[in-house]
Formats: sequence, structure tokens, C-alpha cells
Amino acid sequence: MSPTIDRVYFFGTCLIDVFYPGAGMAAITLLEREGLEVLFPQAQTCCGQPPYNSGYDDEARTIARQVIETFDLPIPIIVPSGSCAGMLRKHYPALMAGDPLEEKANQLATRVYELHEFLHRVLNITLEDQGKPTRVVMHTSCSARREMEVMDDGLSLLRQLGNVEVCEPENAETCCGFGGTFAVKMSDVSAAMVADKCAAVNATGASTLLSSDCGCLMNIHGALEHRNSDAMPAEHLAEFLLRRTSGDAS
Amino acid sequence: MSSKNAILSRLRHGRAASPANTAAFAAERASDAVTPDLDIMVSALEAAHARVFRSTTSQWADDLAKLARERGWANWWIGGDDVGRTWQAHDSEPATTVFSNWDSQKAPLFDAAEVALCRARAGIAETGTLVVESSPQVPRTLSLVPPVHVVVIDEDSVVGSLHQALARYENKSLPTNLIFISGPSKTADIQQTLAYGAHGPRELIVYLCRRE
Amino acid sequence: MSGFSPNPDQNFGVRIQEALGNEELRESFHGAMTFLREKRRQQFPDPDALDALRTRGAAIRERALAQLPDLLEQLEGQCQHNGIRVHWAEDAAEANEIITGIARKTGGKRVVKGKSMATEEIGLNTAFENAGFSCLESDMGEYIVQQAHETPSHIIMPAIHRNKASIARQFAEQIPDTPYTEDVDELIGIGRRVLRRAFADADIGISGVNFAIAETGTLCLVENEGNGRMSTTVPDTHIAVMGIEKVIEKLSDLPDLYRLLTRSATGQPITTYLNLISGPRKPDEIDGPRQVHLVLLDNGRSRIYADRQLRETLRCIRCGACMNHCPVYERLGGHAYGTVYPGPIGQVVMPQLLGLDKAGKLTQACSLNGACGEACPVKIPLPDLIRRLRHDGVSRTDSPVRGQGKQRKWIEATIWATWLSIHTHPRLYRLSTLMATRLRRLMPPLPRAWTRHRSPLRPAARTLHETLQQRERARQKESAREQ
Ligand code: SF4
Repeated sequence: MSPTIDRVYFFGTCLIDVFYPGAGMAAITLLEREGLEVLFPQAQTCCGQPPYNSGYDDEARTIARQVIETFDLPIPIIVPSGSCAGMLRKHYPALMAGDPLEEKANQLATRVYELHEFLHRVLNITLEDQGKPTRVVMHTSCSARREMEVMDDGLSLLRQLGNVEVCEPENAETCCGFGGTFAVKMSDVSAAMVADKCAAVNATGASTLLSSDCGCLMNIHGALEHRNSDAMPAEHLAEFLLRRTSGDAS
Repeated sequence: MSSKNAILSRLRHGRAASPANTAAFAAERASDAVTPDLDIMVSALEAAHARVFRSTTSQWADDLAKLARERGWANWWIGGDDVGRTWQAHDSEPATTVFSNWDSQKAPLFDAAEVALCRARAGIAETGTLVVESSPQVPRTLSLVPPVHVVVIDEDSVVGSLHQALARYENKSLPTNLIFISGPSKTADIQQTLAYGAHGPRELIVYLCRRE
Repeated sequence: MSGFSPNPDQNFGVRIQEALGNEELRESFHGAMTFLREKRRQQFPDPDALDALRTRGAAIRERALAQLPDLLEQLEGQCQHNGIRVHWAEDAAEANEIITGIARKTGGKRVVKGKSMATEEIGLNTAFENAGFSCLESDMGEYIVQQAHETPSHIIMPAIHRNKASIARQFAEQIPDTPYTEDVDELIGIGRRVLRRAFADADIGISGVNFAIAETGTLCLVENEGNGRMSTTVPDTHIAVMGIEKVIEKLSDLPDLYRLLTRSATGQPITTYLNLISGPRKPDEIDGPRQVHLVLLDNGRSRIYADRQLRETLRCIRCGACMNHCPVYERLGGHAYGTVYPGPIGQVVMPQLLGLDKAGKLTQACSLNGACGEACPVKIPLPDLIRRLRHDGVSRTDSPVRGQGKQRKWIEATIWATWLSIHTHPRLYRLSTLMATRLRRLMPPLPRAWTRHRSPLRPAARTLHETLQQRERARQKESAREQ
């Protein structure tokens, strides 16, 4: 990787693609604002985590090959999700062990960054808050926290915003119950977990729920809304950061 | 094939089929030696609900006699160690039973013994631990069955860590029963509420003695 | 298996429903798990020191496993040298036969038992009953559970699912001359009284083993109550039962593992007793068992051993931290699993012991959040192993685990095959996501399993792919116009 980075790949993730494209655009804007050229290969689809977590390794491997070939240039790959970034960085090398693409998988893993990790640790960006005082509650996903160890990156960026009071829910380190197919296969257990998370989120009295993982966001926010039609809104962290710093903050 | 051979041969086959990753062993490093700190020893023991008295090798029996009077202890059990003999010969003339026969004394040990007294071979400062070795002079159950256990230990036998305490047995054969005691018997099995005297002693009393 | 199911997959869903519906149970577990997690956290204030210690713990266990067959032989030799008789058991049936055989030869009838997961695993209590022995559990929690004809719900705190009121009722009903009291000191006093009698009268004492040291032929038992010491000291015969993986190489390996065990299990800096047994009573000694036996139990472990990844399971020191940190276990409690070992380690061990056809479903009760793996003192990658077992459950490739492929369902396999063909054809993928956005008002919402607890989810009006493609086109037009 060249010492000065001028181009990066953006791995949009399938959830953002279909359900939260605004978060993807916000992330891209944040990167472009720092003078980077952002490449978005149209051939990208998913990282393969859903079948992988279900034990369908062959299917996951087929997707991994496609990702490896699609993101072939030796430039950073920015992923706006801890869990998809974790798949690319932590699981591809194991999944592809013994495969002809093993070397490339290992190499790809070194180029993967979670979005906020990249903004904070590599680009070292500074943010100037332009919004009104507000209080937000930040949910860090388990993969951002444990697998990628990027929790502090998201929180540090958020804390740069002078008018934003950041809280974390009680038992912040506990899973919200999403877990991909887990939420469907073990729906009642998942529901019990998200119920507790909702209570903790509500107890903060925050006016917005933030997360850097859309899976958690759609789980927690979906459950909040199910309970209460005027539940607090939810936003991907990238969207919030952009909104607060781009003049059109409300 | 015997079960032993069957198990061992499966293991040996398994090992040959997928040898271990020896790189993992590099992470090992022996625990550091720690200089013993007696204040830490005392506070750790007290945190574990033991009572600790600082005394001397010539003073402890007098101190103990005072406590015995206060508490009204009448039925002492001792083994054949130096501590037991000293106590037996003390001016306060404690009523002592020398524990010397299992079959005849098992019933009174369980039913009547009030206080047991023995020496700890060593101590571990870091964790507030007493090291008791079983021997003909120190029966195993002495430190276990009576409801109160009094231990006499010399300050200069205290080491810093468990690692150091075990190092003393390097290349020696271990006693049949080596017991590390860090407080009275306890349990939290009912609703995580701590209660003392689950099966062993309810009280642990320690005389930590400076050599004179 | 004493009350545990040989086929825990059966009715797993029903047990989950029951557990989730039981408010009292959920409260008990929530309170207990929060308490244990907090205590553990206080014991490890420095994350770097904790990581270094865990790395060392893992390395010590790995080194032992790498030499497992040799260490077992060394252990046997040293034990025999010390006067401990060693027996090898292929499976539960053989272990029970050996143990009841030894017991029969003593001529005694009364057995007391210290807490031991290995004996739960082989269902020893039932074997003893069938052979005409009375076998009393002596750990307070185990005693409570046994008296109620229940099974332990946690490997360290067996009665964690019970509150003191229900224990008070049980004691008042089942122990003669016992008034109802909710005072915990009094309740423990009642148990103490009953069990001391049992210790004094017992002919045979059974225990587990936390670590066995090959170098010295020593059995290490870790405990707070003293029932382990009672069971291994007072009866004339002591029989220790251990899984073959519990052996460690040297005496100097013990301190780090012991420290990790007590701090991870109950958040204690140390337990009241660390009991090192290196032989029966010597001729000149006054007390202690006249015979000590060690039963080495395989029960599927040597099969696990052959697979390098699954071998990591055998590092386990049975501290229970993984279940204390598991959000699913916290909400279900141990009984819902229907297994001797519940929670994450159970989800990994049980399919390997019982087969994926009988216990493979357990692996689904996991959101792969990673909290267990992060807590494990010997760094067992539990989430990876759960995923591996899911894979073996649905895959047709060779696995050393019995019942492989038995979790494969036609419908799920078809879903993933379809999913794959969409996601490996970028055009098809874009077409289908495009359809989803265009038909988003008509699209059936996600499965009911989702919407029962959450508001339905609708695709956005335009995918990210489409948005960026349009932006790209607009830019190209722009630059064409400029030229
Ligand atoms: S798997 Fe790890 S955390 Fe779980 S019981 Fe075993 S050693 Fe403890």
C-alpha cells in the first residue's frame, strides 16, 4: 500500500445497499471530503457472512472468491460495518485456507478497514460540530467491539462533536440479539435480548439511536418502533457525523 | 486391546494426523517472583474473613491463652507438631486432645472437637494463603473438621506467590496431602449470598509470628 | 445420563419457550450472571495483564495437549509410584462399571460425592443407585439440586436457578425437624449438619479433578466449601474421576491456571482450599483414605483430539465464564439446554459427545456475539467452534463428529443455493435489489419470526448501487458537456 493514500475501495454491504443507502452515501461523502477518490465496484454484492455463519462454507467461499477478485487493486477497502469488515479481515483467511486464492485472501485482509477506524486512525480526521445540542445513544456492535476492536474509533469521532452528549446503554457490551439468521432461527431468544436492549436504550433519554452496524440498527430500531410508533429515530453513525458537520445539521 | 491401549493409540494417531502448533508455547513465561509483603498477607486473609494476630515465636501461646479465655474454648485438638506441644505445655493448662488414632477418635473429632491448632509450613503473602502439609504430626482432618481452626505461622516462612511456594517442592516428593488454605470454609451456593462454615471451619484464626 | 437428555435437540424449542416464560427463573439468572460478571471484572483491572495471563493459560494447556498420550502415561506411572491406583475407561459405561466395582469391593454402601462434572457426564449417581449404593451429593448447591430431583443448571453454581425462598421450602419439607427459614446462614447450617453426618459415616468418597500433574502424580482440587476435602479425606476409599484432557505437565504449570480458574469462575482472587493429593494415607499417618483410585475417562475425547481445530475444546478448565457472559444462557438458564454442560462450552462439547444428529441444534442458540470467547481464560475460540459445528452439521464432507450432515434441511440448503446464484451474478443481484426497491410497498415483509417483535422493514427507494451508478452517469454527462 502506498504511504499516501489517494484512492480507496468502498464495500457497501448488502444491508446498506438495500435498506440504508443513505448511510453508504454519507460514508462515501465523508471519505471524499478528505480528498480521497472512492471506488465502488458495481460487481460487489455481499461478503458471504450469512451462509458462513450458518455453516454453508462452500457458498461463502464462492462469494469470497468474487470479493477477492473484485477488490483486486492494492488499495484500502473501507467497510461501513464492523461485522462485514470482520468477515473480510478475520474470517476470509481461515475460510480460504488451502484455496488457490489463500494468499490473496490474506493480502486482502490487511487492506480492510472499518469505516470509523479508517477515518480516525488512518486519516485522523477532525470534526467540527455545527448542530444544536442533542443527546444520542451509541450502540457498538459486538463485531466492532470484539472482532474488529474499533469501538473507541466510533466513540472518539462522536465525542469530537461539541454539542452532542454521547451515552451508552446500560450493559452496553451485551449483544442486541441480531446475529443475522439467529434473529429468525431463534426469534424468541432474540426478541428477549432486543427487549432488554430497547429498555436500556430508552432509559438513556437520548433523542437518537446510533450504531455503525446496520444489522443492529434495524434490529433495535425495529423493536423500538414495534413497541412505540414514535420511538427515537435511528441513524448510522456515518450519516450522523456527516449531518452534524456539513452545515445542513438540524 | 485394553482400554488404556485403545485410548493411547487413538491419541497417538490423532497427534500424528494433526500435529500441534508449537508456536503457541512461545507465549509462556514463568510467573514473576514476588517479594513477600506481610501487610498484604494480613489484609488478604482478613478480606477472606480470617482473623489475624501479629505475634512472636515466643509470645503467641500467651496471646492465644487470652483469646481462649475470652472465647471460653474448652476442647482443643492438636497433632504432634511443635505448636501443639507448646500449647499443651502452656501455663494456662488448656484441655487438649492429641489426635493420634483415627478409628477411635473419629466420632469425637466430628461431634465434640471445638478448636484445632496446627502449624502452617509456609504462607503466601499475595493471596493470604497458609500452606499446611499433612504428616504423622499434622493429620489432614485437623484443619478441616473442628469448627474453629487456629494456625501458627512464622513470618520468615512467608513467600510472595504460589509459584514460589510450589518451587519449594521442586525435585522433592510432595506430602500425601498439601493444602493451601485462604480463609474459613464458605459457600455462595444459595442466591450468591456468602455464608461461612459450609463444611469446614467457620472461623480461621492466624498467629503470624516474628522470630525471636 | 442422570436427568440429562441423551437427545437434547428434541424439544429444545419447547424448553426455550418454558424458560423464556418463567419470570422468576429469568430474574435469578439475570441477577446471578450480572453479579458474577462484575466480580470477575474487578479481578482483572488491567486488560493487558489479563490478556498476557490468558495467553499463558492457553499455552500451558496447549503444551499439555500436545503431549497428551505421554503425559497420561507419566501421570499413571507417578500416581502408581505414589500409591494411587489408576484405571482407564473408554466410555461412561466402563467408568461406571469400574467405579461401582471398586465400591463393591470395599464392602461399604454409603457414598459421598464432591462436585464433579465428569461424574455428571457419566451419570454416576444413577449407576450407584442401580448398584444398590446411596450416593449423596455434598456440595451445597449439588445437595439442594439432588434433593429436589433436579440437575445442575450451571457448572460452577449448580443451584443458581433457585432462590432462597424455594430452598427454604424444600429444606422444611424434606429434612426432618427443620423449621422454615430464609436466613442463608441458617440454611447453610442445616445443610452442614446433615452433610457432616454423611461425611462421618461414608465408606467411599467420590471427587472430580481440576488438574492432574503428570510430573508428580498429584490430583488438584479447587473449592471453597471443604466438601471436596471431606470427600477425599474422611472415607476409607477415595475415587477420583477425570476426563483425560485434565492432565498438565508440571507443578509449575499450576499457579497460572489456578489463578485464571478462580478469577474467571467466581471472581475470587483465590478459593478457600487448593487441595493437592499425592497419595493415600501412609502407614505412619493418622488419617486420610486407605485407598485412592483415579479413573481416566475418555468418553469421546480422543476422537475430538484427532481434529486440530476441535482439539481446542479440550483446553477447557471448566470455569463457567463462557456461560456467565453468554446473553443466550443468561436468558434461558442451564436447564433449557438439556445437557450436562450448558452454555457456550456445552454447545461445543455436547454435539461432539452425543453427535450432531442429537445435539447439533444447540449450536443455533448463539448470535456469534463473541462474549464467551473473550471471557474464556484459555482462549478457546468458542464462536469459531460453534460455527465449525454448524458447518459439520449441514455439510457432507468428512467430519470426526458423529451425525455430520444431519442438520441439513432441504429448504435451508435451497435458500442458500438460490442466495448464492443471486449474489454471484452481479447483474442478477442488481436486478433483484432493484425489484425490491421498486416493489417495496408490495414486498412481503420479512418472516413473521422477525415482525412479531419488530416493525416491518422496507427497502429504500433506491439501492446504493443504483444511486452511485446514477451519480456516475451524471458526472460523465457533466464532463462530456464541459468538453
Ligand atoms: S470454555 Fe473457557 S470459559 Fe467456558 S468453561 Fe471452559 S475454560 Fe471456562
